[in-house]
Amino acid sequence: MQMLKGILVMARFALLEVLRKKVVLAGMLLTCVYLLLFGLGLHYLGANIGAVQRQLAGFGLFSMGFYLATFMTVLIAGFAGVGAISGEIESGTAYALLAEPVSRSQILLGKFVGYGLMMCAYAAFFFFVLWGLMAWQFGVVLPGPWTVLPLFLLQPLIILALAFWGSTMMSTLANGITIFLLYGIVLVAGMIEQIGTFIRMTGASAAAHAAGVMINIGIVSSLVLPVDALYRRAVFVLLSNTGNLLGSLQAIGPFGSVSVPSQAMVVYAWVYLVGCLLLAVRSFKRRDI
Amino acid sequence: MTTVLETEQLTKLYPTGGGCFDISLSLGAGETFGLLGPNGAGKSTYIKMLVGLLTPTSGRARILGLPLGSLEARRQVGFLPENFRYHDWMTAAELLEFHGTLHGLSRGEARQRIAQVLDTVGLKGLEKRLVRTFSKGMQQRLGLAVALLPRPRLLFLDEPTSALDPMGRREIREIMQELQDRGMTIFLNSHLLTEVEKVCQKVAVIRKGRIVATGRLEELLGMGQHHEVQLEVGNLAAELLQRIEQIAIVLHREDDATGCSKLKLRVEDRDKLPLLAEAVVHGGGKIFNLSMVQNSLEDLFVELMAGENADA
Repeated sequence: MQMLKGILVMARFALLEVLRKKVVLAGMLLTCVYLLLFGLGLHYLGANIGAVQRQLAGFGLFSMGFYLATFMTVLIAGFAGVGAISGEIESGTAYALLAEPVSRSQILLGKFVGYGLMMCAYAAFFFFVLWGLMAWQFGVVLPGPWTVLPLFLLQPLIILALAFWGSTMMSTLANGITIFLLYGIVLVAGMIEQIGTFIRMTGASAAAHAAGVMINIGIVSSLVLPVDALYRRAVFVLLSNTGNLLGSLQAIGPFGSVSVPSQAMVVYAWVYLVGCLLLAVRSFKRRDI
Repeated sequence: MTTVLETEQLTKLYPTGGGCFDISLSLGAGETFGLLGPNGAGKSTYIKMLVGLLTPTSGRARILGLPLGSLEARRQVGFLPENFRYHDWMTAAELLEFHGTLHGLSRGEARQRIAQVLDTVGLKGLEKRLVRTFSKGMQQRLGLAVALLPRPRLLFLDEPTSALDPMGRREIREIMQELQDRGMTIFLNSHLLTEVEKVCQKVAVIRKGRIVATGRLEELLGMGQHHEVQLEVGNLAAELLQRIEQIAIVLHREDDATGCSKLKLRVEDRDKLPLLAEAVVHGGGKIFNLSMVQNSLEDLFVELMAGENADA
């Protein structure tokens, strides 16, 4: 009970911090601009083009918009987390805070809960507005929003947890560079895996070995950071069962999902999240300030 | 007297070298203890171990009988860090309420205490101002308010006046004296000798991570092997000077135009003073002044630090 109380105090503190520092305001303003552009794109699609082209462009716009939405939420989560602990140490605020009768695990987990709640609210808003715009402006109700939502929320949470772990060991700058480069590598590896799967699907036996290597690159990168895998699964759920052939075709585009990660990968992602937090707590407890 | 703080051979070794070694100190309830040392001597390392920021490499410590670093021990402690910074996006009242909540104070209790501690540190009426608008001196006082908020039984102050001007220093010193009068136990880290001399009853001097002297202030100031004496004498003939030199070592002599000589002497013990007076009177001299030169903490500090650079 005492543990939970400390976590809640720190969570409230973290939420107040992001609100006061106008992080949410700046993020929401620009996100709304992005959503407005996306909505306008859908609205004016096909004013002078045929139905087939309109369908193709609409689903293409959605898959690209969804990809960038994922990218933006992950980016914000990364920015929020890279200095979560190291920032307190570098600025000197940690000295008074850590001497108080609250355990380091309460401080870390409380801040994670605070930032995590903010990220979940932001990501959920982002996702539902995208999904709603597709229904309202394009007339297509994409399937499985409640299946996709946890997959969409899990991505920034994983990045947040990883950034928290890094911030217990590294400076904010070093942690930021590590997190964003790692994410970039995983995105590229994810695309390589998609291409490899596509080559294998075409049945070109001469390229079978190359395809296998490419797929393995993606699998290993998903084990290192299972964010892209979650995106691929989410986009598969949304686009593969639209009941529209052109919509389903988008699943094999650059932002689609030819190789669909299994449910085991989703379970692994949850384990990964918890593991990062446990390692972060362990590392923070051992750190001399 | 209840022992509030006790450390036994407390040691922190940094991988890069330095730290502090085998520190054994104890502090009774109501005492004000000063840890003195030059920059980099290990003062902050020691205090950081005591408040749970650093994990000791070896040794033992207890605060009010509670194990070092435990949450129970930390509940009894207030701490003003040296390189203090507080979350400057909060107002003074919000910051204090946040720290109060971490100490388990209820909202009502925290509000009551906030008014009291802001009054104590002279920031009454500034509850709603953002911390970022405070001057450094005001932030330091706010830091002291944070440390006092939970009514700690042991208050750690790490260089509490480092950011203050002379007036601010005096104000903090007065607050410390007021807290002393209320019976609070204070552990003061400082390299400002006059500050320690004015408020501390017990002192330890740390040099290169090791305690080189510890005890009550008056004991330490009298602990030198020699005493210095100031003698102002008229009619100082060569024969009289010889007699004086048999009793004391003449460190310095200065003659003025009126025929009066000012001598700075060193004697082995206080009993030599009457002998000196007798020698002057019997030698035909006139005594204008014969007094012990009081050792200052600065003298002691300089003596203890002598050779530090050579050791480096």
